[in-house]
Amino acid sequence: MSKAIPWWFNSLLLPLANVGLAFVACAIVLWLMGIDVLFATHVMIDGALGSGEGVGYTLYYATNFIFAGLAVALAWQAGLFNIGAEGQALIGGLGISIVCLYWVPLPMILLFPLTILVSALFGALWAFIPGWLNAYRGSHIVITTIMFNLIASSLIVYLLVGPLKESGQMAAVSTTFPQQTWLPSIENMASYFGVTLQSSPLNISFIWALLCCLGTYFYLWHTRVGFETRVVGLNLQGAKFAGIAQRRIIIITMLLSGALAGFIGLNEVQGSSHQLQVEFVSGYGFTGIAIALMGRNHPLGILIASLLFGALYQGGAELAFNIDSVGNDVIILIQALVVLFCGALELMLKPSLINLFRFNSPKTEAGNA
Amino acid sequence: MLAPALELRHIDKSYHAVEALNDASISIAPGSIHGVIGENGAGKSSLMQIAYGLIQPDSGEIFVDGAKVELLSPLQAIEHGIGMLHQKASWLEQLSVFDNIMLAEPVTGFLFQQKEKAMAKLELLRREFGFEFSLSVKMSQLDYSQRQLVDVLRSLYRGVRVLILDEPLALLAPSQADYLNNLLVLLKIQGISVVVVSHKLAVLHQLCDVITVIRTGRVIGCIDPHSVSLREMSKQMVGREINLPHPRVEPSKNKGKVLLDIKGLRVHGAKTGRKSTTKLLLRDINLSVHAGEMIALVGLPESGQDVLLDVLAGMVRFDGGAIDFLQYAIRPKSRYKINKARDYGIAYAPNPNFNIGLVDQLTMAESVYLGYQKQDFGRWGLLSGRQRHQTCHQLMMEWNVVPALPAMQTGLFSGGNQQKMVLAREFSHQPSLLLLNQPTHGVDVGAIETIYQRLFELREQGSSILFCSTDLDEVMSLADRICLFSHGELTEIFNAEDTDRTRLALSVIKEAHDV
Repeated sequence: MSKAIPWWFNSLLLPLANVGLAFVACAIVLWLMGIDVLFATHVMIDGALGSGEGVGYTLYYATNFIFAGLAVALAWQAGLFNIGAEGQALIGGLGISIVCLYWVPLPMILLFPLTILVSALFGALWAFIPGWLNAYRGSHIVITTIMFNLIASSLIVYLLVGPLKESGQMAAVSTTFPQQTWLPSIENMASYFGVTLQSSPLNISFIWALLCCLGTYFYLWHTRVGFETRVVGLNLQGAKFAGIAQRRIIIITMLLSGALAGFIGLNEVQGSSHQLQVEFVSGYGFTGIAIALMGRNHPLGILIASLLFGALYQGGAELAFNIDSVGNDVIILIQALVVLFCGALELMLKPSLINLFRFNSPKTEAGNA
Repeated sequence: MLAPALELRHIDKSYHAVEALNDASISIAPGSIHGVIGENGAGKSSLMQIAYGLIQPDSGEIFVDGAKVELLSPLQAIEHGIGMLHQKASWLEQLSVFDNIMLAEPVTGFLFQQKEKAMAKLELLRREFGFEFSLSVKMSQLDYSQRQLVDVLRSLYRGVRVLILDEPLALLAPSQADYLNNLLVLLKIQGISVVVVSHKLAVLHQLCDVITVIRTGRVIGCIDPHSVSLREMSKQMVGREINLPHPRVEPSKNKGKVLLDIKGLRVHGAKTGRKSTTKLLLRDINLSVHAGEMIALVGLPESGQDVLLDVLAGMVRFDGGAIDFLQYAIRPKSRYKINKARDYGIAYAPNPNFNIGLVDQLTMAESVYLGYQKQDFGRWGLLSGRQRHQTCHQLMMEWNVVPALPAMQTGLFSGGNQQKMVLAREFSHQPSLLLLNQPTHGVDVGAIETIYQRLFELREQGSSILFCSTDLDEVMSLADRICLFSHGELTEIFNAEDTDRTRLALSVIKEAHDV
């Protein structure tokens, strides 16, 4: 006899099976490259989770992914494909740098909210223009946000070889911020409570990222504007009937999405490198698309996907460090396979798994998913 | 005796622990017109979807011409000669009827050869069954009922032998009655069986050779409409006595003051193509509506009655004239939108066919706020999930929505239950003016009785109601006055007491031939 599909099938079993399949594919590629797969797995797991330092790095990378994933997912809930998180993050980082370089002597308890605000404002500003163009002029959001990525990176290059460049330096980086503006690391915070942790760039912005997950969830599912956002994303005619101002929702959503992307600067610029670098975003914004896809545009899913990607990033870095024939490309390959199997081929295993467990297969569900 | 053209035996089907069908069997004789009736959520649609391969039963068997088959997809059903008319069929508007039909056909051999043959075959079928549209006309030029006929033609082209019509609203409209009759007879002569699922019991009672009654997922029995009265039929379906046609409740004599005053209302259509001429969707409409009055807007499809509702609801802008509602003066220049309308106390339940009153992917508890999110969410725009859940559950109990699960996805509810939720929402806000488009489409007779009762109660409280309906029995049971629309004009206003169903039907049809 067949039975209805239980809740854990779509939200647990299927994603796990997909990730598992991706890892199998990775193992085959590594084996073809002549790498000892077992050893490589050991290096990756140990590197990402085996030590306090490894876990610190994993969470540090995950912080960026959470911000980027939330930014993409929030826009997606309104039916907008924001692929400009990259540029919005750059501009957010610029805002933070301006505050930190020309800082007014403020205690951290005031400075941190200020930089949160400023990075949000700068990121939102960068998302506002594509949002406005989409709402009032019908420009395609994908095209405009891509263009704004390019403009943002050119702008940063200009500033870093010009006005913001540290004098007497060859590299295109800004002056290092005064130490008082550095975000407290988790290591320091723990030692304040008498707990000793190994050193890593993990800092307080990770906690802010967790709060953002919570906030995004609350916003989307428990507020009126969030409700309106989802209606716009699901059924435009329904939104019109409900009297929802679609243009207003598009702009609000893009502002919030940009603000979330802007927070990447908190972790990278103010939390870790303590200076503005040309390529500090280095693809986090784009990886956010994959994170949102894997996390099914839900904050909890995004948190889990971010942790997985954080571990992959850190484990991959260890792999490249330990095995000579493995370069950075292999890390990108592994991520690409995860995205391929969890995103593009998300439903590939579904029919066979349904058969395996002898569940009912309602056609409508397969169509909606 | 011939084997049945299609037979479903001992079908069971459950969704998410909700039982839709329980040991249901149905047998369609060749060349018969077979009605299927039942309340909302009784399982009629599930049974038909199983027959068309859209969903698979949990257990049970399907036979075509006495041979056991398995229908895993509509494609397989079509191969076995089973066709179904789609409620919300989507057409490519800019392509011709012919191209739309051919789109889904597999290509064999040279395309131009196939096209020539298909054209000849379709033309033959078109003449044989008396379809009035030309094959080369663009889809966008056909009205809703003609589009359903294109769907019929496509099924015929594919060699259909059992044609399932699931609530073919447009075909059952009074203006189409004769036409449908002829078509069904022609189909019958060809040995094609037709299964009609509908809530229009009177129409089915007239048309069908045999009627299967389904109640809460079980087949109660088969009725021979020639020997069973309409009244008995509806009693079988609901399980209790229903008065048919639904009895009128006369309004209290004291007419209230004028609530809504429409003067010289004019609406331009969208500019059509390269030509800069615009069609007038509404021309010089004058109408005064008193408090405590129920007014029906009737006419052939697309005569302007829908547009009037949309304008009053703030969904469509108007270009000339004036609307005065209570103390509010609404003019073409005033930014009158649907939010304003709701603030003024105007509620609108749109045509269920357009699927805009609810959002399928939201849970019902969320869908119930659509349009009232401003009023219903708290001061800070917040609302607790539990409160949302409770409000929805309460409405579900009041309106007898099954299953009463607020957390269930809106799209999983049957059409009739969705419509009940839309009405429940609009009623719960105590509107001064209620606008309804096809209020009881897809709703069963038992529920219709309750809806009418509530409409009369609302009228008694001094609210006015404007509704569009293609069901003239409904118009006669509800309306105090009836406005007849034709080509965007309000041509005549009847008092309900001074007219009867036949006269009204004649007037509606006459308008079609006048111009």
